[in-house]
Amino acid sequence: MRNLHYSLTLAALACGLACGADWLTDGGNPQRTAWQKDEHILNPGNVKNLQILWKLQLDNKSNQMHALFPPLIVEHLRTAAGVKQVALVAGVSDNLFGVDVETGTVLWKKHFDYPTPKNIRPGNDDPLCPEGITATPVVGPENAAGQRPVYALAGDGQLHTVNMADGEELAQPVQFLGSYAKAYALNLWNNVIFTTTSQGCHGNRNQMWAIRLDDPTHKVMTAFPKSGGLWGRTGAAIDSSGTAWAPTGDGQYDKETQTYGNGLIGARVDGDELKIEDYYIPSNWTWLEKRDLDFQVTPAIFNYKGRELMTTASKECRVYLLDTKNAGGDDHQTPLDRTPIICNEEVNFASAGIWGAMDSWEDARGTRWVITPFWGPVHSKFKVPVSYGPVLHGALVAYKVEDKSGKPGLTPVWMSRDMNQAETPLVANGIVFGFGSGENTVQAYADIGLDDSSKRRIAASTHATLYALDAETGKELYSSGDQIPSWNHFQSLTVANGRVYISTYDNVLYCFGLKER
Amino acid sequence: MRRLSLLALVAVAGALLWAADWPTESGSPQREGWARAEKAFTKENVKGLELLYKYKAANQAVGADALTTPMIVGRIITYLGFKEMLVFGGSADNVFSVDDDLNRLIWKRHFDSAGGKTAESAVCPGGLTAPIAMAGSSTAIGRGRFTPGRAGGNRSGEFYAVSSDGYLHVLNTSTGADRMPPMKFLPANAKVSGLNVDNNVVYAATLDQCGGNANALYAIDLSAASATVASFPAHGGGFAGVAGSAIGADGTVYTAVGDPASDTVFALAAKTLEVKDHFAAAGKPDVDSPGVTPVVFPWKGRDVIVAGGRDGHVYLLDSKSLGGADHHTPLAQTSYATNGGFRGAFSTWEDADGGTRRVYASSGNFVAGMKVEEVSGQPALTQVWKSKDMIAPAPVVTANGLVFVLATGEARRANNRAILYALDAATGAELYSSGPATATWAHNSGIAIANNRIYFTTHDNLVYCFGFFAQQPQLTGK
Repeated sequence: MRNLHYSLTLAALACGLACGADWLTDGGNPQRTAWQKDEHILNPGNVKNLQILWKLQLDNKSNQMHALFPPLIVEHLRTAAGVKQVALVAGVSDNLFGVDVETGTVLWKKHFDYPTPKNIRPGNDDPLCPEGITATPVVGPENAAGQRPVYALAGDGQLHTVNMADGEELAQPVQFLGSYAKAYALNLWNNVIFTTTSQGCHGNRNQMWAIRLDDPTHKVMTAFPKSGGLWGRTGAAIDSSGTAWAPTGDGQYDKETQTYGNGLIGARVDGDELKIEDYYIPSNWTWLEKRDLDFQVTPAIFNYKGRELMTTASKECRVYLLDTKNAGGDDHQTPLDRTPIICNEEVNFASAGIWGAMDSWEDARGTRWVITPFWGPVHSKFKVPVSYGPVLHGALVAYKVEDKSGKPGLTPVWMSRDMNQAETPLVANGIVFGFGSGENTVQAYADIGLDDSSKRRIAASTHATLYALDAETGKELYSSGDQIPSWNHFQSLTVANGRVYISTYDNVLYCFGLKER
Repeated sequence: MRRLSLLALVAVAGALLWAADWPTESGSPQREGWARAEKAFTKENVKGLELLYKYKAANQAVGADALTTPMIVGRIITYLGFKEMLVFGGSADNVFSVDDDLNRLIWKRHFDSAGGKTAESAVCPGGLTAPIAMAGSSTAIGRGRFTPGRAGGNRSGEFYAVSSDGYLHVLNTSTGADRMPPMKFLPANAKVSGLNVDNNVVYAATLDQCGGNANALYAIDLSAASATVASFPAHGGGFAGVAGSAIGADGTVYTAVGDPASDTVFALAAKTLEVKDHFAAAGKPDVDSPGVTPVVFPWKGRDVIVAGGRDGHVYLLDSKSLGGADHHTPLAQTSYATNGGFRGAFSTWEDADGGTRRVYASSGNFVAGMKVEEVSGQPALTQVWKSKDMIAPAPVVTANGLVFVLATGEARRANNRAILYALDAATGAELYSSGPATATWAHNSGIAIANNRIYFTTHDNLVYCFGFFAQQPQLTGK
């Protein structure tokens, strides 16, 4: 292990400032692996010295449980004040912020104004349907003018193209979705923007959406799986063929009527249409449907021994391994591997199971890893070689991808310490950054049954905690303890250039790093 | 995670989203014994029925009583998640809630009943005797937030149980805790047949003058600021059957009272139990027969009541005038008499293909299949088939063209076990028998069916669950 750290340190020194890191989309890349390959400053040896470098109170108003979205980072951004490392942060109340990460100050703020949509719901207290921006924007490649466009979806469903350097509009907004559709993180592939929507918020359909940036007609393309909602935290993940994969949430499966609830659909742009090309439906989808155990985790797509695989999960608390070329085999219901249940013994729809998105990375020896977060207590029958339990509120579990009986499979390696509602981790330079959101996720109560109220949940939420773990062993290397006083909801981390970013419900953006750097 | 407002949208893809209930004895306030939504069992596949599991309840039998007929809540959102619950009472003043998908206890409630104790007897064993009930019918949908009772709508989020001291307990479905202080409802140590629930009123009939209490039908109105109890005395007679009462579409309560001289069906006003009408059978009753609770079904815009006299005849009664001007004239009656009459409760359903209304009844040793036909504009009843001999069949349940029968084995219980049968509803042909699957007999246990599973209880405090493993991925792990 020491030799590995030494090698990494040498590599970092050799790389120097020229090898900077960006983080241009939620999940780090179109494949949503949440793997920061270009981090060279933080390492397992120094991460214990992590401190809050700055925290920034942003002028944004929380809506329901939502507040800020994960920062997107461009290391070398040309601005009027010179080249800067800039974070783009979206806020649910239709705000974008450009933040100078060196100083932790706001460079610019952009607010999207639009007439109040007719479908607004007075007194809305529904955590499922906030009003405003809900999708993490995406940063596009530099344009001919040397500008970095940011594509952001305002609450009224208009897609904006904004200059990351100053927040100015670079193009006329185009109507992409209906208002307050609850879109998930935008993805960008071959000049096409993808997103997904869920929960039928404000009368919008639950489906995958795509729009060509170079289409002068701005035709909106959709793929409709007739399910309860495509609410994978980071939207769709895109494979090497351009197929966008998204989980479909609750719902039923009926091949005859192209109804693909409780599964994963793969849709690809064909001409000016978005067509469902493939899908996977777990064999026990009726059980998932019955107990509200949605298949709702954005997959992570990666290469393994010349094949392109993806991993996903559901609230039932199993992890799946699929081949992007033939998800689920001929019957669409046969995964390469499906783990035993690792949590949610109680079969709870609200506060247990796997939520959000997956993580995958490859170590220096070429071993492919998959890491899943989960909420709630670990299953009493789950066996893992290394555990830092007891786990009562959530944790991370790391698997190695290995050949089993002639096909790729998942082998559990370690389970982390307890994390209060563990969220999607991020791997960078041999470190797993994870966090417990501290969010109260209860939706039903003993006294009155279902009562999914934002007010009630906000009052009962606690605080987020950031952790750094050794990626190979799961050993805790750092904890922020109670330094972060607030919690967050449906969040992801961002890591770039020695800085770790996390935001909270009180609209504070935290930047952790090494003071000596 | 779903928005419940979306359920309708998703439901167009199929029926699975809508879970069925079995909320009370015979499945509905009308006592139809019809699992309307059940489609999993067919004439073709029922021969392959499998014992999915047995649940052993921590309960002590009291006399012949052990566990009551189960009820099923098809879909309920609790603080522990979405559940399908199997709920049943235990004679030792217990109530059990079992996650019937997983055969796992959710909660158990024990009542420390303060009532006096009567000496146990075969007829009056004491203890909790009435099946647990909740509002609704076998087609009820799942429920989320608990609601208080309101005009036209039942309270939700609660079960009703009567402990041996005669108190009505309104139990939180999620926890089994009292949702309101227990209310004195019935005399202590009464023997109570099936509770019925309609429009926020709970009905209960007492039998066999147990505990020295005269038999009466009781009603308690939970929507009133202060719950009030009304009663209708049997005046020395007894209430027929295991289900106590049947409730018509307009809320009228129908009950049958037998005394040594005759059997009478009463139509009583909801809540107050004031007599609205009655029908008295002319034949001489078999005083040893426990009789049968009436069943109500719709017929050309009105309710028709099926009643079984202990004189051996089955009567069809018009809800608009039970027995005509002389209170002795039914719409129709069977021309033959079954020895000792039928017992327990009826079952009735309408054949989806032909629209034929069918009625089933259990005697001491067989099940009869009847059909209702229109003759000169009036319904008439004819017996179509008679099953093979069975030992003390409990009230049957119909589902998807099948009749499920639990032959309790009680009559010769020392040597017998309960056997589940599936019969062709049209012909009575035997399609399935559970054979030696159970270890012992059953008493006061009917069948409950919902969501691809069939349940009943036996005297050794076991709940049996039948179905097809292929439809139960949560049990097989597949």
